[in-house]
Amino acid sequence: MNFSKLPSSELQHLLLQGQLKFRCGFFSLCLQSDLPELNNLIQRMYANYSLENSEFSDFQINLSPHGIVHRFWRPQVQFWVDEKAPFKPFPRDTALPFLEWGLNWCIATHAHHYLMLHSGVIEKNNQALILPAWPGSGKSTLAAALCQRGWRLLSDEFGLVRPQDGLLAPFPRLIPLKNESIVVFRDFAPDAVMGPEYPKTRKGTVCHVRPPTDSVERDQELANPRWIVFPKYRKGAIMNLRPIEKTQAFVTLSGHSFNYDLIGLRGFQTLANLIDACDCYTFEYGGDLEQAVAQLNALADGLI
Amino acid sequence: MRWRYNKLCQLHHWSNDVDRQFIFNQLSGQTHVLSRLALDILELIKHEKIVDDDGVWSQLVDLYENFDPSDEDMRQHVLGMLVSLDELGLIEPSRSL
Repeated sequence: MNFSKLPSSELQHLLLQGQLKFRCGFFSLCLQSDLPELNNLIQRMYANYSLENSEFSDFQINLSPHGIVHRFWRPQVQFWVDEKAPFKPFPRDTALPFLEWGLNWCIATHAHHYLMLHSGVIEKNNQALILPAWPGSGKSTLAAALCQRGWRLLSDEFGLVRPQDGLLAPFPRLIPLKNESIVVFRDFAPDAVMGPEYPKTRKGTVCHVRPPTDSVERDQELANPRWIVFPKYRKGAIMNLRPIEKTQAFVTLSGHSFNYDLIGLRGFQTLANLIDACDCYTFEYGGDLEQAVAQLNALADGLI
Repeated sequence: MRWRYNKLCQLHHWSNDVDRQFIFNQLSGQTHVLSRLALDILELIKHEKIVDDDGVWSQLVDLYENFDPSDEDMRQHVLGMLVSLDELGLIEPSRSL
């Protein structure tokens, strides 16, 4: 059963009891919250995630109001994971972005059985395109756009490479768009399911896109890496997809890893195998998503 | 100066380009990008056990057909590379005779 089929009263009960267990990719999550405003939001945005009955969860997460004073004055929310609070509290009206950022932190600091890349990953015909980039480079926008045009979303944030076979593990989550990209994406995909806009976060205005149903339903399906494309959004830039040397890609990609330095030889060998398996490019684009999607589709279709 | 390979190093190699050789040193956890020449120097020292500056230079002159034995600039460049490889912990000075 998934979230969308769960009666809202039952969802609220499970959330209150800390029994809302669900799967995302190869991670099992358990969520607890007594924030009533989250119920409908989670039901809508997490609609396609599968509920789980397992006793075990990788992360036990609790979102709860913070402090007595802050229940009434500038309400705040705290993110707890396994009974620890790794962050300072956030304004209560940003609970969903806080949950999403907190989940990212959980993965980035724990999932060292993967080589973790800071990248979007999408797949078509079992060939995955990896989009490693710094924040603000447009990787989430590109990933969101491509998965509205027939690509499967593995993640907009984590390239999870399995050292044992080099395959990419899905982790399809909400895609947080920021600032101008929100309007651009709405125009590009008016039918996409999007959450509320959260203004004045540390990253400006944030709005989440729900991952496509197909991407969530196929979250156990690994993908073969085929292309590494370093995207760079620059307003008004002429689109340019340019091949780069694999050695250059190695250096740049190691800098986009959360844990390359941490996992030692496994990181080196996994990265080397990944680079060997992929064609590598830089991709500058000026914000025309239709044009950018057409170009990357042409790459996937062997026309470039 | 006499040099020897740092036996504690466990080096792993990857490359896709003659001019950029990637070496992962399992001892330090560091990845180094070396030129082909630097890698050849490293291999040479590893093979020879102990070798001095002149020995490295003369073997490189034999290895690379385009090396001029009287090219002092190139010789100094190679000596600089030995110091760099030492700084990376891949080779070390040897006091053995």
